[in-house]
Amino acid sequence: MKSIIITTLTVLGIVLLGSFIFMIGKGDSRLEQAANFYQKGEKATTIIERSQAFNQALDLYLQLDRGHHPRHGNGALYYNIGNTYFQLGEYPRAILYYHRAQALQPRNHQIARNLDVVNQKLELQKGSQTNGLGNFFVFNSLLSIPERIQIFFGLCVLFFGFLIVNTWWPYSQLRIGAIVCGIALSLVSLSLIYTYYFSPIKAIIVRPVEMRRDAGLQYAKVDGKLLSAGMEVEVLSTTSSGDWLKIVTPKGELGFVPQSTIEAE
Amino acid sequence: MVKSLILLFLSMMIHVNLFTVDVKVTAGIDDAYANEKGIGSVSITHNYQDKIDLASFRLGSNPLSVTFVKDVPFSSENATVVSIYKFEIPGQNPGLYVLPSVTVRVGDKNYQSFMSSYSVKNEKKSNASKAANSTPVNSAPAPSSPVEPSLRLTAGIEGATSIYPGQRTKFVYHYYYTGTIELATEKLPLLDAQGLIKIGEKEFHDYAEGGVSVSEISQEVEGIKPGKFSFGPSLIEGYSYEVDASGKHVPTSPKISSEVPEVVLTVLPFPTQGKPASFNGTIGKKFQFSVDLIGDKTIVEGDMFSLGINITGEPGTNIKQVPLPEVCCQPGFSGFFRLSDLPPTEEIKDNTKKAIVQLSPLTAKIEEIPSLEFAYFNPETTSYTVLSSQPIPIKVIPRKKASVENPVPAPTKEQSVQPKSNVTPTRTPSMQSPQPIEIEGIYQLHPRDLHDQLFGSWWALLIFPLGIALFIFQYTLHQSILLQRSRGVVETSATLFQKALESSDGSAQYFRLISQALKQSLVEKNVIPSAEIANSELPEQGIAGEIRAFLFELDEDRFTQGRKIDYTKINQSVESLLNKNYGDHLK
Repeated sequence: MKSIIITTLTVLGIVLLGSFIFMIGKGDSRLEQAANFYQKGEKATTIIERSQAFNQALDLYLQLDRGHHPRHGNGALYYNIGNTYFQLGEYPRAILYYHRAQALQPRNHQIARNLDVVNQKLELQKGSQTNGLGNFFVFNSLLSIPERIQIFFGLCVLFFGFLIVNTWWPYSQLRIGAIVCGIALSLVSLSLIYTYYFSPIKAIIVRPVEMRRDAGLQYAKVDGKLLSAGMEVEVLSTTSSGDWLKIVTPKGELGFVPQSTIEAE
Repeated sequence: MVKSLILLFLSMMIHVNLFTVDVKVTAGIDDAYANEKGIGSVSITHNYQDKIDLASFRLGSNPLSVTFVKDVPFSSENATVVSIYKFEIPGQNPGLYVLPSVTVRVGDKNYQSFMSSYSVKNEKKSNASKAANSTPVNSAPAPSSPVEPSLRLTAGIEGATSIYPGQRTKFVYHYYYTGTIELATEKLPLLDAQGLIKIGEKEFHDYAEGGVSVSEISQEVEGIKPGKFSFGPSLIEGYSYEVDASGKHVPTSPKISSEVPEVVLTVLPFPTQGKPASFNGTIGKKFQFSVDLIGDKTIVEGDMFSLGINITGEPGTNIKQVPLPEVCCQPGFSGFFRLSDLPPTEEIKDNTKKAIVQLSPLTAKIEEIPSLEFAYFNPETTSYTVLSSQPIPIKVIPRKKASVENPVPAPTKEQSVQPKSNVTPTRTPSMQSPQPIEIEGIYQLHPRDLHDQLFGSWWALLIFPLGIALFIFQYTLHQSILLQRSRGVVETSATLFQKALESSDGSAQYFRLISQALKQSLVEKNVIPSAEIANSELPEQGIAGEIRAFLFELDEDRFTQGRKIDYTKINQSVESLLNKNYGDHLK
């Protein structure tokens, strides 16, 4: 009986792992097409050619994003989308995708440089840094969420591995290893809990919009100025209908903007 | 000569003003006494050419029968007249009442009066009694007579009841009250104006009207999108009070409440007929529109320059809300000019909005900034007006000579749309060399770049409960093995039987070992869980039943006096029982 269960589980595991590897390794012709269109756009000798090529590349990249939605991927797709938006002069959306790419590749200097360029073009200040409890987790700005989850996974394997081996063959080194892993695991866990539940939700204004004092066009405007497209803001809450978002600007101004003018990073 | 010109000008102004007088409807009750029919009048100020439909008179939602009294012309030289009509209302008890709005069709539109209050006085005294008492009927009450507390609410729209998006009107509440009233409940949905834009703060105005105190609360609103917006019913409740020695309000009357039905405001959609392409929601009676170039008229190709857009409205126009014309989409701009990504700066001064838009020419062939269009809708005439600015001549200096390695393909139909201006480019701007690439290169994506990282998504956190479960399993397994080890080595049925054979026949140890060997054999055959069990607890079926019977028989032989025991036979029987197959007990 035991041997049947073990065999079944082993076969199931192999099938699942094989499917996963097959899925990951499965090629998508749109990747190559998009890259070709992008290169064509870079080499274009007229505005119309460039515009057409970059638009075709963008269309394919956005299709890939909608199809795969790699929010815990390596950010390469978002970087490419950001670049394509940049080439088309859609700077606010370029900022949005650069931020998404940067969240997945926080140590990538190229993304930071591109973000600076596009911020300068829109005459925007750099977004506010993490504050409050966020400063406690210094590694949050160095490690992306997928990386922290991977570290959590690895630490879990080590921690429980040490505990289990120590159960059968008790050694003091194993216990010390388990304690060290346990402490590191606790820190990473707290960091992930903070990120998931308490970290501010950042968003990008994608269309210039006037901030209102309450959720509705009938309410007074805050300051009477337009919020620039591309500005990074913090979302505090949404109305029950979801049509309006309460935000705070980098200058600390509170107000409401329509949901259609803003996109979460 | 000058005087006569001034007079002529003034007379023309008066003429124009009188011709543009709005239709106004006012209604009120002239006299009303208890249990007698009250007489009311409706005055309509209108152009004499506009026909008044007698059948269209309504008091609130009910038809109203009116009698024409007279037309009063403003003067013999203009067309404005005031038509006066009389109507009657049934007798009522003394008190304060609200006269609903009177609606009437003048020309091809409906107009309505504002709601008003009136008081029904005590019965008119007869001439005889009047003569006898020689007291005026409408004399003020004696100072000592107490004021009867009363509270009435009216709600309405001061202005148009049908507006267009962007047009304004005013919601008004009136509180009519006598005595000192403290309000306990106020439900005033008009002031919330859900679905409309509130303009400014609420306005409060207190005054007295025929011995009745009136508080007016108004809120100006603006339509956003077409639809029918109903507000109400509105309700106020309060009670009359006196202030006692400690300064507290002591109620002196039961709660008085007043409720008014819902008020409906209609926001009409803009007519589609004759709607210009450049119309983007501006509404008003009259605007002036101009565009000017800020700075030098010589511009380098691709460099930003500023365009000033000036829109002036009539006094009272909400110029701040007037949207700018969409420069990007105007004829002659798309493809020839590029608009800055920065929003235009706007400045409001008096009734003028001045916006500065930044844009850059995409080609050196442009010779002028094309005419810009600004369209608005006049709600009074229900018509659109399009204003156009003058084209501004400019000179665009080429930044660099275009270097096209390949021959230029012929432009398609879409690309060859010419601007409205005098530009006569040999090549459309879209065929010009683009700006150098500022950010180069992208990642060469692989299929793995489209997926979440391995063990990088939130699902990977499930490793933690799995790890706990695995650890508990391993720990339990380890503990059970330790426990088993601590119990020592378990003897088999064969070794026990062998020990029994080695011991002397008839001894207590012999019988104990025989019993243990038989029970252990049952354990080995998975019939019973443990050999530590009494004979009587053994199952009665199958091989266990046979061993049970054998053991009882053995005990009987052993403890019965004078019975001879054949140990050879016993040993053979035990051996036979020990060697019986596992399935035998089931037979």
